[in-house]
Amino acid sequence: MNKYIIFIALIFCAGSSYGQLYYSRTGSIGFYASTPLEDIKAENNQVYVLIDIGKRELAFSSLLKGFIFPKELMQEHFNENYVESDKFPKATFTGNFTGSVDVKKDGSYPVQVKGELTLHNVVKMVELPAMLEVKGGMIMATAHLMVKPEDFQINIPSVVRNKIAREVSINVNANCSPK
Amino acid sequence: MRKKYIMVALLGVLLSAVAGWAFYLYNKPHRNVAGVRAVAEIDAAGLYAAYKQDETGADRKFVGKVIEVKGTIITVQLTDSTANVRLGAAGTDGAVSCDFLVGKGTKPDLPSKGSAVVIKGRCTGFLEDVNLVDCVVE
Repeated sequence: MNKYIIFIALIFCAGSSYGQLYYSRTGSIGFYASTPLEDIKAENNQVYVLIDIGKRELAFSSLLKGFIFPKELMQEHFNENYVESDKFPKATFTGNFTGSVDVKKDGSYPVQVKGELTLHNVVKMVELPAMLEVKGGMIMATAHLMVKPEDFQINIPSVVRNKIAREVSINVNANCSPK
Repeated sequence: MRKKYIMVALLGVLLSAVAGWAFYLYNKPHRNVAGVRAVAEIDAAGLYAAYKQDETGADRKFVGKVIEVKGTIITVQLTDSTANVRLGAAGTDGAVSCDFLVGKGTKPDLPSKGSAVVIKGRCTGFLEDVNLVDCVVE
């Protein structure tokens, strides 16, 4: 819950850093886990992303019920049995990045992001490389990370555990405009 | 003896039917809410206000439910893999964000910015906007 308060606080700090704050309401998070039978994948295209270039802060928040699976039953199992989205409806990330980004100069700026990922009511520190691409006054943010479900107390029944990849691949994309 | 064969045959048919039904359920593709009856009709400003006033209460009322939302489109975003429109909530910077399914090689036909529309979708909750998924334009 504290992380969510920080996320909201970051939003309200918008006025103090005008011109340095970029956001998207339609960022995407996709995840993928391979299994011998079939691939498990889902995408959420309503992710709220906030980047404060001046303070080098980055945050995103997503509703877990917003992840769309190709099969309805997979989506039902994801929400009810794994992430328990009725109890823990949101996944959030708040963190900082190192590396400089010149928003007045188009180009690709690799950064290193470090922060807290909250999922299933578990907070875990994660570190990942990301790319901030400045183009025409917008920032396209892309990042990739691997997550172990067990790190977030997401229990996968033993009968299927060995059939699902130990780590889930997560991609984040957001085309952010100035706030 | 004949009775026994009939029983075995019936059991085989029954097992095949159950297996077929299970296979169908397992593979049932994700669809939009076309053909699903909405449980509530509300305008975008009213839905947004309900969430701003009491997110938990609004979640209880709307999350997971198919609802029809009336409003004016303030943004349209269409890419190769995403389709989204936002219905403005007058007097706020918030909106109702409506996500449409995009199939392989097919894009939904979205109304243009400024159109007054009714959109049906499944509510997933509230971030900066109230979010709907699996949307269709009514």
